[in-house]
Amino acid sequence: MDRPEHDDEITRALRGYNPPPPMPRERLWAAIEAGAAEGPADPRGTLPLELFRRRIRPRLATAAAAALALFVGGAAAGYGLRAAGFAAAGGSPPGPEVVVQRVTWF
Amino acid sequence: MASTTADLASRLRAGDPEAKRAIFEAEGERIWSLAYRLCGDYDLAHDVVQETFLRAFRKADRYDGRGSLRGWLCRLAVNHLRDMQKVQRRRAALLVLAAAGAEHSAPPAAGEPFVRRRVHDAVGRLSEKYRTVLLMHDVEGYTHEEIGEALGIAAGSSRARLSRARALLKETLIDLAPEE
Repeated sequence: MDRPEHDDEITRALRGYNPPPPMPRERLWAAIEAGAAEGPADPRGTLPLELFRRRIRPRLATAAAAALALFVGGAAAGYGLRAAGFAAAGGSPPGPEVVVQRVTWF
Repeated sequence: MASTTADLASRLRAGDPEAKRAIFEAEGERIWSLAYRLCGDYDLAHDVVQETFLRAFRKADRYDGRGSLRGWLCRLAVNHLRDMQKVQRRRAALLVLAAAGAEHSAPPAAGEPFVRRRVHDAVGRLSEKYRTVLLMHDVEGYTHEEIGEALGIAAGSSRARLSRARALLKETLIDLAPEE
């Protein structure tokens, strides 16, 4: 079946969409050889594209580190306050072995 | 032809350095043409072809020989092009330079025929999945099986996308059809 004339014109126009220039054969081959000689790129130097690795994982790591720092800081402050309370009352706080014995009495 | 390509692929897997150059000579031109058609950017097409062959040579052991070598190379090229275009889009968004369709190709010069300009605009407005199949099949002459291998879809899906792409193009260019 013959194609209408305007279809042929459109087909020709379609062929004219981004017509490729001649391939720089030797330049490309030289670049490929140079790349092959260098070996694969260091993955540490590449920005990861996946959302989890790029955005979520770093934030999770930061949140975990912040939570740990808060816990350690809070425990230290609590221990200090408790020691200060004992000192004001004229006594001394129980040593670590007594604390361990208390919390593992069962 | 098929046996030659299969032979080249097996030589590549065996680590034959001459096979690399032979594969580049056999398929380089087609990959270049495909990459340039899809992106319309000389430097990006250069980068895509370079990276396609580098990856193919490094990952030759992953090519199992079931599909065609050309299909596998096309797949590497299309995937790399998509990755690069994602990066470009992000950069463009950061710089607030994202002009619609700007990443696909440069528009034809003002002196270009009217139909060609209209078709160029219409193709640029198609979504990536339709444009890729249309250009690969109707312009570059790939078969649906090769397109399926390259895009990781079934040949039937490639046919469906082509049909949809043509329909969308026809809808956009309906006014170019001569009056009955």
